[in-house]
Amino acid sequence: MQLGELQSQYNRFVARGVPVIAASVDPVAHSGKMIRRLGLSFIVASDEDQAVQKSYGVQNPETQELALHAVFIVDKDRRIIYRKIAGRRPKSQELLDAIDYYQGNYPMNDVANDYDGTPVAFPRNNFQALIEVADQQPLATTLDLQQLGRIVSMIQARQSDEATIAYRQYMRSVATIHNEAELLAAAAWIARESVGLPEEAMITGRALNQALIRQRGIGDSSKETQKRDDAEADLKRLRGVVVKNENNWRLRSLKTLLRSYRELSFAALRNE
Amino acid sequence: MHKKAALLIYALSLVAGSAMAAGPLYKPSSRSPEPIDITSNGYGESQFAPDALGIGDIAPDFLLPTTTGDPVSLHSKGGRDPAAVQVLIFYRGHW
Repeated sequence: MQLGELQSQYNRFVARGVPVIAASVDPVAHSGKMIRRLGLSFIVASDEDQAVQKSYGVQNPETQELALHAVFIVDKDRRIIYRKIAGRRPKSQELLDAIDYYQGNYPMNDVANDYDGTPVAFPRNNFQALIEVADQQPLATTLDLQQLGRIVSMIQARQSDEATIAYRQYMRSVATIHNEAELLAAAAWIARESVGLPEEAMITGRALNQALIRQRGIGDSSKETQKRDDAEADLKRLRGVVVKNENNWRLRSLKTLLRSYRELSFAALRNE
Repeated sequence: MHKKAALLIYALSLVAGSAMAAGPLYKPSSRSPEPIDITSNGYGESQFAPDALGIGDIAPDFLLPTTTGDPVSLHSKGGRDPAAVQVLIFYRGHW
């Protein structure tokens, strides 16, 4: 369960009157930082001595001190009505469906949210197209894409400082939240359209996309490590182009973007 | 022939399963080929957690510190409404 994704859908749990408790071994002080960073509004509890995760049998056999990704939904008598322990976190929609099913309200269709994690393709090369894409996306992604669209418009209006600040704020606010792959695709699109490095931007976007998806998966084979290394190399190459053209403000914006790429991928790793 | 019979039985069970299936369909793991009914037997179990609690078990209550300063327990949050449910998520943390 990625907590940012959960936060993006949390209002739907609230609408059902369903409390959500997220527990990890992190001490309270550590969780506090994360809550502020991700803007979490559900309960984050600290199971520092692992007593609770042990009592639920969700100790991670590989790293004893950490829990597996596990979700339990219990009824009023604490009887478990849904459970999932998996390498990949269930998305909020699955939990909401389980709740609705138990309560006899399935399917609820309260918010259409069938986003499956596929990177969004941007059909045309203008700001309006981005907004149009945003309009067609489910709620959680719409906000991101609209904000990205605003940033692109700033770039097009040559408001370089504003765009850079907006990039930073934007990436900071969403970096750890959800749809990293899609954000990368969007970022690659910005790079391609506004900076005129089509090939590099595309390669980087695709490679990073892949890398992120792999990182979020469970395996860590040498092949996957290679892909990650390739992505790093692509990133370095693109950064080289940027450094050579330091005096171009649009490239400076791209540099900020590249830094965000890095933060993004690290954040995704940390959030596992 | 044996294989064919087994396949047929499997196919029939799928048909029967889908006819009865009323619950939401999801993949039990990212490596699963097809989504299945989340109410089916064994859904959401993991080979890494053989001792994990399952459907129908009573979840142990707890009292854990939170960032708000108020400790949280399962009892403290539900119980009023017969349809009341609560979600408990274990995430890895430690980063």
